[in-house]
Amino acid sequence: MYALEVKNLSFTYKGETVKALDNVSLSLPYGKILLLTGPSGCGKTTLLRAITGLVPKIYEGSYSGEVLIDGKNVLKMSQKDLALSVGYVFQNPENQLVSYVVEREVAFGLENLGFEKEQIINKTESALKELGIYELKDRPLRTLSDGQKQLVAIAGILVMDPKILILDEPTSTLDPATAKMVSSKVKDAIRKRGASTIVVEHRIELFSEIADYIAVMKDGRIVEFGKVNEVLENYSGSELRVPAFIEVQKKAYGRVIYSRFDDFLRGLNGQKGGNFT
Amino acid sequence: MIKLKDVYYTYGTRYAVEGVSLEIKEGEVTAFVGPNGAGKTTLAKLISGIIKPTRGSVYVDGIDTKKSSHLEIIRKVGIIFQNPDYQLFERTVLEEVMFALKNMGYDRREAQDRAMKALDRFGLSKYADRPPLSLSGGEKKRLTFAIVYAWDPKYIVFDEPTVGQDGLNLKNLRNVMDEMLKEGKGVIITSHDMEFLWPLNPSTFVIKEGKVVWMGKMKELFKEANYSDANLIEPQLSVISKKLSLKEPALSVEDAAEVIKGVSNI
Amino acid sequence: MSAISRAFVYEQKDSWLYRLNPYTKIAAGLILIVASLAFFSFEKALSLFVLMLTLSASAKKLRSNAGSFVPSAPFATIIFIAEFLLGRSLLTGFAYALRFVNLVFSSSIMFTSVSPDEIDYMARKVLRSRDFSFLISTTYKFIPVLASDISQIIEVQKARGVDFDTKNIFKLLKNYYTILVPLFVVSIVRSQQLAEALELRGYGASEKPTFIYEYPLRTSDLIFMILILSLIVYIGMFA
Repeated sequence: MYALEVKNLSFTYKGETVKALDNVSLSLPYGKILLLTGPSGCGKTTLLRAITGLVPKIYEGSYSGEVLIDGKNVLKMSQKDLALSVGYVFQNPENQLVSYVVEREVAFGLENLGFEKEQIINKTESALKELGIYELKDRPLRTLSDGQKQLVAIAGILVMDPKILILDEPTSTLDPATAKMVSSKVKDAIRKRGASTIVVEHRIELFSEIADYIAVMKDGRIVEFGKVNEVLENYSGSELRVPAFIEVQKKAYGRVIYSRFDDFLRGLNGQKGGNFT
Repeated sequence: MIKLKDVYYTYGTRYAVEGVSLEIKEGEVTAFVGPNGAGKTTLAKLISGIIKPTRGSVYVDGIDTKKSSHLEIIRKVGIIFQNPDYQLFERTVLEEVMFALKNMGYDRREAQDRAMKALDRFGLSKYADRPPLSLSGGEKKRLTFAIVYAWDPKYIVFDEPTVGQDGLNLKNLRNVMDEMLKEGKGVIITSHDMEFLWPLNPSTFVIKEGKVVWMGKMKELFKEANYSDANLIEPQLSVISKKLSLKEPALSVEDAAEVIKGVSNI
Repeated sequence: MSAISRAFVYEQKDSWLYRLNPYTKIAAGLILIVASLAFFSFEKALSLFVLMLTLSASAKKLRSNAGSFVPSAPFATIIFIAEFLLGRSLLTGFAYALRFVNLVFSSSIMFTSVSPDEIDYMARKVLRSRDFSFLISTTYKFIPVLASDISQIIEVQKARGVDFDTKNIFKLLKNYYTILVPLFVVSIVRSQQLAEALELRGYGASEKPTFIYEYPLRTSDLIFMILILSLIVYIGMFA
């Protein structure tokens, strides 16, 4: 059984003629991390909405196929089951934070589901510690920096122990140094939990090092799927932001030997350039 | 040339820009880099005349922005902001592009001509009669380019143009900038995306807490060690160039690959 | 503008007032507001004013609450002048003006001493409706976000040649239309995202959602209420 199975999923939004998803199939094993990418309008967002059940519950249209989380059909799950099965972190922390104080924000989901007070407080504490932001527990949200806010949003999702964690461009509103800090804390948390994760990112290099697979979408279909360096090696389009060190390898060696930047640099050891002016 | 002379800008009691003096030339790419909240966007707004300095002066081709109407300035300096949703409101795409032109005093006929040409340039003519809100994200972004392109300003400021954009959009952006440079325009970018900026090797001003802490060509910036102070991430090509002990850093993927091919044992 | 937000927006501080039970704070606040309206004479109004100053200062809130004088001063002046023109004595005019200042001051004290979490708690208990308190706290939370949206939209439209400084009333109205549509769009997109986030975090899934904080009634609450009531009664009877 897989953590997530999408079987022949097709969907057209109500009032549209073009398919947003065209016979998409995908399987994510437990504990694996999938990097989902593709140009704007390719169907990534619709696919994520289908995994969370928002399509077709809130976004109506013609739907065929199946989405199974831990073997259960998403359409047959109650709101509570769905909230505990899928954790979704949005791009902009401003549009998903609802409380005044950090602790309450993180506890929000569990409070909604009626968990016991003690249990909520304990789980909240560990989620905050997991991301290294426990000292922010009693701080009002509006006094936090953007990076801290996003970490709080992520803690609020991790606290639910979801079976599938979805991060939708989690660092796109942050500057690079903050993005690096947030993504490294998130990566640590994912690794420790062994969470089955889908990350949507244009900046592939932020998560390419821990991703087990990459899926490239275009026009509602998955056009590439596989290990990161294999897919990027064969990729010849221009819609993706392929990291520079990968492009350099393709042009210099004709293939992608190193999928990690650090490894590539080590591979360059002892090779010195000529008088390049 | 755009000149800033000892410019200060305050929001209440806080200094967003503190004592900045710099020059921006046309025909070149100039970049303001630094972390979020450093003051890059404030500088972009000061340059385009939308806000006036609290102290000091901004001169656009010799005109003091404090002493002229902001209309006079924006005719010369167009600014493209990050989020298209913050500006679209007209009934049709064509009207949307014509809006600024009419504000600048073009009559309806000329405004329509210029607008159609701009839509053409950005592949949006087929949407001329559609509501702007019906366009996709990428199309809206191109529409914001068309809107500014229509009045043909001498300088164009791009405020954080790479955030959330896919590879194709970045390629288009690059092409648009190259074209503008060929036409002798001044291209100004505020960004924290070093990877995108690196191949352009722009005249760079590093902004930290409202002040300019470094200025020069981007390839020089990463030769020195002080860029770590401003939370900048060194572009991969710069790191690779250093690893290869190149005298001059490789500005493009092709250049770096050539060097490696020349000495590679693989 | 910032004085007004300081005077009416809750900010957590470390003082005895904040540790009181939310019901106590609201009750005391309402007593002060009613007293502000009821105390007509100069002596009573002044005594109340001094009481509130002392209260606010000891709770380390004086700087915030004093911000309420910024909006109330102009109106108070108008009232004073009006009473004077109506032929009343200077002292009466002053008393009426002060009464208005007291009204705004007492409201400021009340609003700034209860946190959104406490309001949520009381709304759930008293109104038995989580939706209502959530509506209020979310609206409240998004006011600064909306304000920032508006100023950004204004800047963007300025960059397209819109003149917001025009004296022509028709043009000005038309200009504000250019703000309204984008504001609407941006707000709808934001609400949509927020609604999705709520749905996915189980909002409404349970009939009895938990509340992790507890606000017990303590002796300090009782002492405080007795103190406030006796002081108000004292002023009312003897000032």
